[in-house]
Amino acid sequence: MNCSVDLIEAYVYGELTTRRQAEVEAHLATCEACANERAWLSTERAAFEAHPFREATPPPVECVLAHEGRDRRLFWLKRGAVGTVIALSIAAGFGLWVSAPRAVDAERTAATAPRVAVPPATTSTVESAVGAAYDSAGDRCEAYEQTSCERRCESACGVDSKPREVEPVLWSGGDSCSP
Amino acid sequence: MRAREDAVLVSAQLSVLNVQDREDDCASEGDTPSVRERALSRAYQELSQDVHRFAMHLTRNRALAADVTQETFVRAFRRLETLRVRERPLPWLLGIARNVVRESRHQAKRDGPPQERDGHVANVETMSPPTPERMMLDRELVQVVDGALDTLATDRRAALVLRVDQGMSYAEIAEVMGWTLAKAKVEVHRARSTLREHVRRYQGGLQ
Repeated sequence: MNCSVDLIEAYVYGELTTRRQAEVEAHLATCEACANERAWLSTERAAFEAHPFREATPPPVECVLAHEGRDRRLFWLKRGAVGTVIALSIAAGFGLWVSAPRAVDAERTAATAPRVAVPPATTSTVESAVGAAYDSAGDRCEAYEQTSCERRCESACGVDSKPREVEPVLWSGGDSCSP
Repeated sequence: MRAREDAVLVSAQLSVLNVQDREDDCASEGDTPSVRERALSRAYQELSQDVHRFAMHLTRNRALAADVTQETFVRAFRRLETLRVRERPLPWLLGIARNVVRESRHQAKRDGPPQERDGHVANVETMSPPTPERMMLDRELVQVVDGALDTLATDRRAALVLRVDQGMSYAEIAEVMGWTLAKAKVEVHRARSTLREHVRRYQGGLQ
């Protein structure tokens, strides 16, 4: 057998088969260098075995169980928090999605709705106010049947149309309402 | 269903740890936490000594080593499914311990001045009464070896500890440390050279 540090190490650590062990032992009896190597390795092992860390006692298992339980609770708390955030985000997204078409519809309705003529800039303040009131109430008024222009506007808008002489065209759709 | 799978998994891992689970009550839903706790307790009894010793060698600080040991087992149980059934659990646990030590080192670097090391033999000898083996060996030689270990870089020291103290093969050392086989051999060889140099110096001083 040739000199081999790996084999000597395996011998010291008991990693060889019985037959191989016998071979190494025979070699060690004749080879001083390998015997020296074995002495080193044995001393090294003995030093580690005698090291005070060998008797160091780990913390009691209760500490680990408490640590593990705390970690698990924390884990579920984190999951719960993340879940809540995701749910809120989804709800907010859905709300936005639902409200967005309504805004578009409102814009479209406003665009297509019959326009109420704004009183001309030359009218008096009272006339402007009356015109504005009619203007804002125009949509509501439109739902009423057009039996009498004055009566309709008074009942629907609560606005006396008598003083109005600035001819605001309230009902563009109905020609019977033209003053 | 999930609890049953969990229990089966824990039992499988326990069988790997050679821990006998004689009770047959781990299938019901409500028992899951206790199954985990029992499994953790048994694994801890079996392997905590080795893990703690490794942590002591790496950190050379009792309080830090205790923290590392606890954290290692907690993490191990959180990732129990990553342990392959045929795999030896100790190298797997020591790999986790090594990562925990590295993380705590980085944390300590960020937080401020390093913690006081108490790894020298003179400081830790009060931990337990001396065994006959320890008394037989030259006490000074142990101190010399310990001093030499203290001079080694953490990874190199870890490699030597895994080989000499834990008796692991080079393949297992490579697995624990995340190295190639060749690197594991080189690191252990270099650590040994440093150790021998210290011992030679000590022996030369005696003559």
